[in-house]
Amino acid sequence: MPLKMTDREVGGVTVVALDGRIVLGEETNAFREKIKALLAEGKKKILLNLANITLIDSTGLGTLVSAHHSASTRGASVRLCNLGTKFQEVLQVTKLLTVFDVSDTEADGVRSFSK
Amino acid sequence: MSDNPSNGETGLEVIAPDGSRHFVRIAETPFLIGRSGETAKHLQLRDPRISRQCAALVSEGGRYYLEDRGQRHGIFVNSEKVTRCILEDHDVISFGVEHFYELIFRSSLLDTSIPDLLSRIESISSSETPPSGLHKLNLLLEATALLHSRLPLEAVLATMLDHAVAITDADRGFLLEAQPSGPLHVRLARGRGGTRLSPTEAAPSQTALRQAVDQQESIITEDLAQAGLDLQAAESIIAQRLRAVVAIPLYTMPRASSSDSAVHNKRGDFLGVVYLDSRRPAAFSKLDRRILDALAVEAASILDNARLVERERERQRMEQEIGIARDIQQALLPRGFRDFPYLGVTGINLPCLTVGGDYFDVFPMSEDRTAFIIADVSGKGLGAALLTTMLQGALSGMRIGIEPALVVDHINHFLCEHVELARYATMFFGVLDQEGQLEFINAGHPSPFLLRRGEIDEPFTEGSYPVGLMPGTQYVTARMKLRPGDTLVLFSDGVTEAMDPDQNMYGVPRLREVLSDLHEASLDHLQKTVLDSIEAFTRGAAQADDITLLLVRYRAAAAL
Repeated sequence: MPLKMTDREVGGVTVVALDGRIVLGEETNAFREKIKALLAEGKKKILLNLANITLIDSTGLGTLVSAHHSASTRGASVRLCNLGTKFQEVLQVTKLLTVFDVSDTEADGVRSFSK
Repeated sequence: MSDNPSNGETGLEVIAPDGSRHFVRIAETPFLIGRSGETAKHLQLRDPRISRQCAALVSEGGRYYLEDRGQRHGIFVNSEKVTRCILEDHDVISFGVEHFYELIFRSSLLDTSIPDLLSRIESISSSETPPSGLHKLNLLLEATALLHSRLPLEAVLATMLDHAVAITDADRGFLLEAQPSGPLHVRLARGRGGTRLSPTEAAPSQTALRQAVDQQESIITEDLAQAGLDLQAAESIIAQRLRAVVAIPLYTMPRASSSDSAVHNKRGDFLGVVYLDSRRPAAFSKLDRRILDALAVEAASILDNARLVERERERQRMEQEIGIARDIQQALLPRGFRDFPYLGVTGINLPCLTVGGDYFDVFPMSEDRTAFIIADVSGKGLGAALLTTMLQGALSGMRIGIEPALVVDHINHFLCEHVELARYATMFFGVLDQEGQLEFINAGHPSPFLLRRGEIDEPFTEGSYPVGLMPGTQYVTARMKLRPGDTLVLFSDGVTEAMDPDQNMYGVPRLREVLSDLHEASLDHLQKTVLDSIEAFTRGAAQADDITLLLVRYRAAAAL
């Protein structure tokens, strides 16, 4: 099951809707390439909408964190919104909730960039 | 012939009472098994204990069914008596008598090369072609694969090539192999009378090779003019003053049949070229096409089988290597949990693949302090396993008195520095002294449970990031006091995320529930109960993650 990624611009923020699973293999590779491409295009504000993520494994989590890192080193920012309970739990256990800027809704997420 | 789900590759491996095995392809259904006569048309088991009319395999809707047709002692599939049942790959069929034949049903023979070879022996021995020298050699090669013997493949291929040289009366013979990318690779070069030529010195005519490959047909070129070759392109032919060339392209054979017409009509994958040449001007003029065709078929079959054997040997070698990795990994786990004076320990690690990314350890730091650790490296399999070994090495530094938090800082720094590893680990590290003082570091690991006098708690949710994710993280040691009888249940998320066949998760609440009855239980019993509960929940579903448990019980300060 491939990971579907669609992005659009909302008020200067690149919103990437992720659909499927972020797991070791093709999915994490595709995700890494996507973030790389967006950063190369000069996008600075990237919001990942995780509403339709059904599963994220440890490698997927690692990929999200490294996306966050590569963005910061380029003066850009990757933020998250619409986390499912499961993913929220994983971030809680690993303490990574404090690393990411997380919003409940996409609208809140987009707004968070203008604060 | 009725509908057959996998192109005639399905069959039965027959294990005789003396342990010998052979393979019978199910070419038609109903496939009749019995002692003799028409009712044993497809498989005869000559033994008085078997009924004349015994059992049959029938095919329905793409599946195979086994039917009891009157075996007096009954028909059994995987030791269960049946009258009619669906057969799955690897099902074992027996006949209710001891020391007797067993049949193993194979439905997906393409999965491994050995049954593939087996079935092809079957098809070869039933074909009409009279056995030639090469044919025998081919059978030998197939037998080689079956016996896992170490007959060198190069020798087999060389014999094949020598035979081709002799049959065509050529001066030199080359075997060129197709490669996934790039030009043909000269695998072997032989001279007249079985002499060895160096594959690098001898250069076959590229023009002739290309022509044979393009036309997908054997070519004989008598001289340059007749072949209509571009003179410039044919430079190497002139340079070596070669007069006559035969180039035979080799293709895998259609698996179902070995009749000549089928070979011509249905080309398989391109394998390579047998190239023969001679300095005598009209050396190949009298060569019969049919000889070349026969050569093409046999040489292709030999090369194809040689490749299968090679792949099989490579696979076995890899399996052996992984087996060694598994042995090492399991050997690195603490053995024979000795009871420390003031605490009891037990633990288990069940990798979902041969090797895994979980790890635990218990070791004394000094007379009155004992360290225990559970760690889970991201990802699984060999990659994760290599990292667990590195973690274990690094953490063993604590044994020589280095402050635990510093060691964890160091591991984090190391993993972050080697970003290309793209791996991180969650871990829980604890040091318990004989007074019950517990120092711990939680690096993004699920909180262990604390079982204390009928209460269950998750008191270790505080902590920091997993190691290898956030550069510069400072890990802090926290403290708490344990009371005698307290039990810590450390686990990897493979436990709580174990899945049943319907993709439901085992979950933390379920683990908590199971543990609630086990405050007084011995650690071994506690561990077994949890494992049994997971097993009952997963109902045999293949797990995606390693399952690791580590149990630590504080007893009491030793009498001072």
